[in-house]
Amino acid sequence: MSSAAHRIAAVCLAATLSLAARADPEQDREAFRAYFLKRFPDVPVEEYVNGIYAIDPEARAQWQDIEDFPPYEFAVEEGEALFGQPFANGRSYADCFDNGGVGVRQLYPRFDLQRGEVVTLELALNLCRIGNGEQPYPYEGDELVALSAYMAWTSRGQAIAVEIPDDPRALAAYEDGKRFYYSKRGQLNFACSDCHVTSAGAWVRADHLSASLGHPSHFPVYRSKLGKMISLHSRFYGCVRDVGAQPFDEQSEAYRNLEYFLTYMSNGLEVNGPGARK
Amino acid sequence: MKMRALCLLAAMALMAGQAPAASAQESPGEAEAAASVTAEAAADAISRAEAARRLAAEHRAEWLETAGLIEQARESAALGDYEKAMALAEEARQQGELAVAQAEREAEAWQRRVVR
Repeated sequence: MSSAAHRIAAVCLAATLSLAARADPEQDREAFRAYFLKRFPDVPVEEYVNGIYAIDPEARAQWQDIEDFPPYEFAVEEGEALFGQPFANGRSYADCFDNGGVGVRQLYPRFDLQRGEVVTLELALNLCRIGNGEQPYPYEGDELVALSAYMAWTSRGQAIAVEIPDDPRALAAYEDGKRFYYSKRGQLNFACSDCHVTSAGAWVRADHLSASLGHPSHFPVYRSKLGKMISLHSRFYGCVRDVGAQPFDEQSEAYRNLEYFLTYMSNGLEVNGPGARK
Repeated sequence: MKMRALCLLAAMALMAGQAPAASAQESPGEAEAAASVTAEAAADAISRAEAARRLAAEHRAEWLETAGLIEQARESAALGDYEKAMALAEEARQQGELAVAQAEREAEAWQRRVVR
């Protein structure tokens, strides 16, 4: 082959790799969904909002028993009370959200063009507090999880509809989350996708690994083993720590972008949070 | 079977015999010299480990145990156990360097895992 042909081949290869790396988010979502539908052909797509219980029949039976007396109900009630409590200036959370904050969970996280960053529901709640002269809640505390549980509750049945506006910063945030999701990290050298795509359904110690499709639909969740409600970012924190990597803070840019990518992958599935998990 | 047991006993006897002989060869002066070198080396090793950890953190790739190993190294150095401090710092440095190598590898490798 001539040197010119080599150069042309190299340019074509570079263009192909570049195109592959910057695939259209909607193409990504369709491929992501198709992967799991092919992997678990007997599982209807709408079942993925139930996480591991979509693909593990034995665990599902236990979970359904738990759902008879949902352990997250206390958080929903606490969240509703907090949500209705006016700030010192007389305004409230309802003033910060569309539709008074009812039935809007499915729109988060969203890319805020003014701030130039991904805003999750928890961050939006704290921005609302700050904007009304209140101190932000700690992200590891119970209050934001309760507020988030209540807002998810009011959004049950709504299809997740995360948008990526036509803005290079929004696409960059999505790409950053995608890169985080597929990158190996930590002493165990694991990527999120190693467990929740490649090995979804496989045993990990005494449990099965869940599929990533539908993951964000049911958060926050009550975790029986911890005896408390946890946020999606708390789950990210735990996963990153479990593979031997230094976890990032909840609501860090890394986790907000990860949530942006992961939730976009579940667009079209219904919000069914809050949930209960082992 | 008897032959294997015999060989094992012989090896154990040799190891037991050699260990005291080695330590008996080290004079008190040599031990002091080793200790002073270890003190300086421990401080350097901790600095190198911290630099490697910081670089890994800049790559968003720091491993879970690295900061703890450095902290333990500092504590050992403060207690005068420089040998232990240096061993811990060396382990931390290696972790930091492996984490950076992992991040550099993943700069391209992650794309091969994308579901398409």
